[in-house]
Amino acid sequence: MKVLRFVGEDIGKMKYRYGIITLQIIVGLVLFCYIYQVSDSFAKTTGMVQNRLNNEEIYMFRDNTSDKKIDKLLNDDKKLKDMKKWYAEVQKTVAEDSNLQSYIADTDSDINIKRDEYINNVVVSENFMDIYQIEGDFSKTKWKEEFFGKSGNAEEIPVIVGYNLSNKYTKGKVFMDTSRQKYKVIGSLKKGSVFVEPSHSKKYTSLDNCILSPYHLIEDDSMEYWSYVQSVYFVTNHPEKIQKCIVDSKKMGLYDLSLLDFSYQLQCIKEDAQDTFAVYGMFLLVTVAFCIVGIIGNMIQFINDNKKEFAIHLIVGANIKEIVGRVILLTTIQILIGLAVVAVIFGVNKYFCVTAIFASMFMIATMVYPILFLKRQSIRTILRRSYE
Amino acid sequence: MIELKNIEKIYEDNAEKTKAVDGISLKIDLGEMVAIMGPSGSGKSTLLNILGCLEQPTRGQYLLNGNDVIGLKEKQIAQLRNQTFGFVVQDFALIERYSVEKNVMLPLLYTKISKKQRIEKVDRMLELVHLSEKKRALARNLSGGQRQRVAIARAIVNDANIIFCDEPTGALDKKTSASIMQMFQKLNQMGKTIVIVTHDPEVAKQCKRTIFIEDGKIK
Repeated sequence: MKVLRFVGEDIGKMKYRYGIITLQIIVGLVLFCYIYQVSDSFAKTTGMVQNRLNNEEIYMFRDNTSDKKIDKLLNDDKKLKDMKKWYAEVQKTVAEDSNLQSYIADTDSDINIKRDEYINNVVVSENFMDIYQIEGDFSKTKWKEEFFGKSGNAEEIPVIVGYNLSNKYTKGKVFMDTSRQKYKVIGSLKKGSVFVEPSHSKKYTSLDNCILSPYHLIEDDSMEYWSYVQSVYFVTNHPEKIQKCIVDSKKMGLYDLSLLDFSYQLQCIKEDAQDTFAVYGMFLLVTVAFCIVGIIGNMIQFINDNKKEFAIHLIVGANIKEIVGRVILLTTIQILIGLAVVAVIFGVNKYFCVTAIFASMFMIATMVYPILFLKRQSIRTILRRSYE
Repeated sequence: MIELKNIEKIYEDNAEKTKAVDGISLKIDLGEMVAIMGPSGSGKSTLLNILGCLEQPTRGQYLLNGNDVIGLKEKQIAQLRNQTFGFVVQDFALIERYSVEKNVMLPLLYTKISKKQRIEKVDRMLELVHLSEKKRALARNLSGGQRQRVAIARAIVNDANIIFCDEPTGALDKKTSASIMQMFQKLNQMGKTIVIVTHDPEVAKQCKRTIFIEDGKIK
């Protein structure tokens, strides 16, 4: 109790400096927790995407069909039948080969909410979520049924909203676009959900500000098959079977396709992730360094300013442990305030616990000098030095 | 009784060793008023610090009422400083931003007595040193003589039996020095043991015994 009483006085004596250092610690710990949380989520995503794509290539069709031929294909009923047949063949090829997966991720269908206000809409196929292990607050067992329209209202397109849109578009909410098409929110994605879109970007594409809507192919619309050709991705290391589909397409007089691979883009994505980690790491290092320097500086200053007082306390009956405890308690209070702020912002979770461990280690590191200094000095030396 | 046997204190500064106290043996009876005199650097303050457990000797034996002090734990030594010893030093060693009352109360904050008892004890001590009216004044606003009286009150507030004084009149004028010395004599008459390190022969004259030190040895 008596140590607490003196600590209270110490804080009062240097309230402005103490306040600034406390603020610095709060910023440091909040930053640590934030960076750790983001890095962890990023590492998980990267790990997941890299695991998924580590030894596999992503391919896409390149459509070399002339405009004239496209016109003919889109307006010829006989060709529509061939397209259905070819599409079914591609689906069968993918289904039969365990080393081949395909998904649709069409990012060119933004939803026009108001005049000049659009939401990024990603039209996705059923296996998109599985391939990128995307999670959210939707039911894991029922969401496909809900999302791909095997149940529910056909007039409303079910959508899953990205994390950043989840406050505005809450679960169950129905909204309309400018063409009066209704959308019903069936859930939201976890923060930091990403996928790769190598044909558009050399980075992970974040889904935090996107809406996911289900991909449906309308069988009797030849435009739909053309759209499929534009937005389908294949994940495999054995593109021979897809090559065969390309040959079949040509033989059937359909699209003139070739296969595009994304080795370079995938490499860029991996390198970009590593760069991001390096930047985060540096940022964290600088923040922590500033905090350590700040606290140690403050402690040295505090001890120097209070040498005489410490010596007086020792003379009248304090022992050195009580003085050391007083110095430690000063920093402990700052760390506890910092951790309380972290708990309020991020909640008490895994990230908070790691931040608390980091804060403890940080405190030990900053306390080494003051403790050694005080323990090494005799009362006489402290008293003599207080007049220097 | 205070008994030192062949006490040595060596300071090591890098490779250089300085013997501040060189094999001193002495006895001070309880209730005595003793002066320790000697030129600057003779080791008298170091001896006083060892007597007051502010420093540990490098070698030798220190017995207090027959008990070995050197082997005591840090906490027990702190308790000695709190309950058995009182200190009065040249520069008063007061916390300037504290009031007179709070300065005197400081040793009592390291005991388990109640707040009421603390206040009563402080009031008694301030009465003894004639500073009751300055109870609420800040230490920084007091004169040298008043500060030294606060230091004396603080030294005895916890019923310390042995008062160690390091040049207690060094920063005071003649008149004030005389009043402070009167106060020590009064305390000595009350049964307190007073050990005073001084340069001033006038101060030493008022003590019952004087120990002369030179080059860390008793002359």
